[in-house]
Amino acid sequence: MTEYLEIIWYFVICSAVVMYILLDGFDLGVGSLLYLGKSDQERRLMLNTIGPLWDGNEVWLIIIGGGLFAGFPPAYAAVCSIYYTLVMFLLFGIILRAVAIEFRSKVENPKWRLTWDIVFGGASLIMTFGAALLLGSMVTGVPFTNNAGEVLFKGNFLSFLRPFPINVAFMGAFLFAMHGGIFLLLKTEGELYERVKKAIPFYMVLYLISYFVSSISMEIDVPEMYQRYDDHISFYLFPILIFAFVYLCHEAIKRKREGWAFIFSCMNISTLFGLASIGFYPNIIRSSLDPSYNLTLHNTVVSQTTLIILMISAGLGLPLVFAYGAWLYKTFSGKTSLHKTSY
Amino acid sequence: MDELSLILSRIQYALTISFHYLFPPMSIGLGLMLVIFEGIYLKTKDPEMKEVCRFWTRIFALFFAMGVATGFVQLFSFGNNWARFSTFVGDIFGSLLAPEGIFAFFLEASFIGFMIFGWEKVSRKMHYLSTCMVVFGAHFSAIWIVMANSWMHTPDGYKIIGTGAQKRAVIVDLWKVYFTPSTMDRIFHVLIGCWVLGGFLILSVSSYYVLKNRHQLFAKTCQRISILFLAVMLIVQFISADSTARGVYKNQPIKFAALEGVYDTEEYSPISLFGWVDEKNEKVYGLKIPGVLSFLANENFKEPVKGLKELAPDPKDRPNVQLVFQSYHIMIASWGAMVFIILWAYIRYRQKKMENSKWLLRVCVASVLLPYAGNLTGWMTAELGRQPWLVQGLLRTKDGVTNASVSSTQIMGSLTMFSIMFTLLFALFIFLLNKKIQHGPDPVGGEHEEDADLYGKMETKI
Repeated sequence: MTEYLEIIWYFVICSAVVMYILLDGFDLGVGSLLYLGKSDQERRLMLNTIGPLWDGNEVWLIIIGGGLFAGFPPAYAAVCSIYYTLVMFLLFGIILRAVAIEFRSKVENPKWRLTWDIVFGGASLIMTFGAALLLGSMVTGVPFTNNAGEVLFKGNFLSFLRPFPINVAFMGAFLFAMHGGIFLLLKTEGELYERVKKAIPFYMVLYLISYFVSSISMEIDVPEMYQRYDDHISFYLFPILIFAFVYLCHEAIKRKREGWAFIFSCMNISTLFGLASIGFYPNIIRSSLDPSYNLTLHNTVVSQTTLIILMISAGLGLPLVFAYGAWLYKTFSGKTSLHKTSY
Repeated sequence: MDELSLILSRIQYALTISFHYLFPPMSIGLGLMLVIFEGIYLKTKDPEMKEVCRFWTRIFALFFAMGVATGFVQLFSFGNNWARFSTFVGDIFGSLLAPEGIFAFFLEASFIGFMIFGWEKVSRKMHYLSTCMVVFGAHFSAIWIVMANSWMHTPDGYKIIGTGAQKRAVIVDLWKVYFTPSTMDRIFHVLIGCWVLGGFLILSVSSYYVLKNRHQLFAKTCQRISILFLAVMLIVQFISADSTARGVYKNQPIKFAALEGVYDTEEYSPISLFGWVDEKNEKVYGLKIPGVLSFLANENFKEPVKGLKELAPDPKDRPNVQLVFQSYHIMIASWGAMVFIILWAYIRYRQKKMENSKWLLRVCVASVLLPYAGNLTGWMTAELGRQPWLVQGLLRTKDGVTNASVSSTQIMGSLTMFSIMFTLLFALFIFLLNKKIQHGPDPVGGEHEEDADLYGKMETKI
């Protein structure tokens, strides 16, 4: 039974990663698009579109981290320790964003507010780059040895800065800017709406270019993923799908169907991640030195007793998370306006 | 892993967990007070009481948000700095922390929205249910976490598989893992510590209002309830402490000997009211009462308590006796000081002279620091007393740390950043807390704009 349960748990974690990218993706994107707000009023409005949602979105990060620890402890330990610096960037980004968004509204001084807005935007970018670099680098693999479970990292920070992860980092930044922009279209009106609308195609083009470039750099860094795609030629449908979704997104925005645009943007992200994870399975963290060092779901999984407890917990808990999320999003749907207690 | 990285990792963990521990205990303690307050409101339907509940809910929300923000760090800190430990306990912790995340954290997160915004939107009973669920979640969370921690003190129901770096503990008997010999004692000891903390926050803030002559009716109601509550809790804590200490004596004798700095096994083992440990000469200087430790441990003044020289002849097998001794004694002293304050306040309250005793009120305002001191030093006693083990008898602290994958420079960097971030967060927290306290409870029938301060940053227009 373990072999089925471990795959289910792997799938749960992958889905949590997708949920995290879909949800935190747009609020990180809004953070990096803050420069589009020309006045304090506009930036305030932008921050308040994500105000009640962003901390809930980060709950998915807890599910990823907790799920990995609970299901595949050695892999969790290896990811956290090998990517120590990047994980720290994520944590500091999270704290800094929370501090910045709370501090900015407490003093009326425009310089004070601008400073904290820059901190918020900067922290959002750090988180975006950090998370995307981490994911990209996990696909590429890093130099570590694994002697019967004794994982030893042989590289340093430069080991993450391979062509493919760097491309993924930029791709992530453009993708989130686009995704966050579409979310802003759902939430804003007037001048700000027009300005965001003008910026989105720019990020769409950049995203598609970086997608193309990162696909090429994958050939350099992880040729074995191409081999897997070659084995199942139908996987080449995925890139076509990605271009199609971006195009549909663009068309929906033109027709002022922002809701559809957001859905297409989500589908684009899911396809992108789906493609990556098909090439990646069943690994959790790959060694660039020797594939036999890889930590996979098979060699890091916990005992069957624990897996069953995890299944029960997730089975009862995840519907609760979805129900709550749906309620929250329903309550805060519609265009945003400001009032006294806004940020 | 070099010595420096080990020490830095330990400091970083101590820093992040201590900072985190400023907040969740208040969600538990203040939460229980909220359940009591709102229960009274549900029964009496007194609009004054409703304002009491709404005010403390706002304070609660702030602590809750801080707890979540600092809790993030905890989730990754095991893997970051304690990779081998994570691998070793993964199977055990998975079965404890996953239910914690789902049945406790998500339960809280799901109902807190109703609790904060729901005052006018849902019925009184529904709101009370939300409050109870959030508070229940907070308690449940603590219970799971203390279960996991207790397994590190008195591991049970496991078997060890693998060798070398792959050595890890695997569940054999789930109930024994969940309820180790020390689990129940420690759960109660920790929870009561949290309840005392919540009670003192209420006493502190309401005494501040009495002192400043503001919100008199509100403050006196809160004062009355908190004094009675604390009087009961401090006695209950004494019973729980006694039981916990006996458990330590039975299960972790080395830790027990370190608590009082007992080096020699001799009859009429003493306790020290205060003292200083001379670790070099293996002696304790201080004010000692002979026989009491023997009595507490064995219910017999004569029977000796085994000393460190006998239990752990090699000093490498002992914890840092000085630190354990001092944190244990600070914990006891803070309990003594709390009892003194509550006794003083209770007498003044019975004489109906509470508001005239300026000094008493001032002491009460500062008193919230005492349970904080007690809770933190209590945990220090427990965790430092377990050293040099990370999992008692199974995994030493130096073997649990991340190997050479992380350098001491990286840890130094992250430690510095944590210090800066926590300073910022703490400044924000104090600023917001002070703002909420200065704003105070709203007048009956007045506007409630502050409710939305933390979560409802947005008004929607459809």
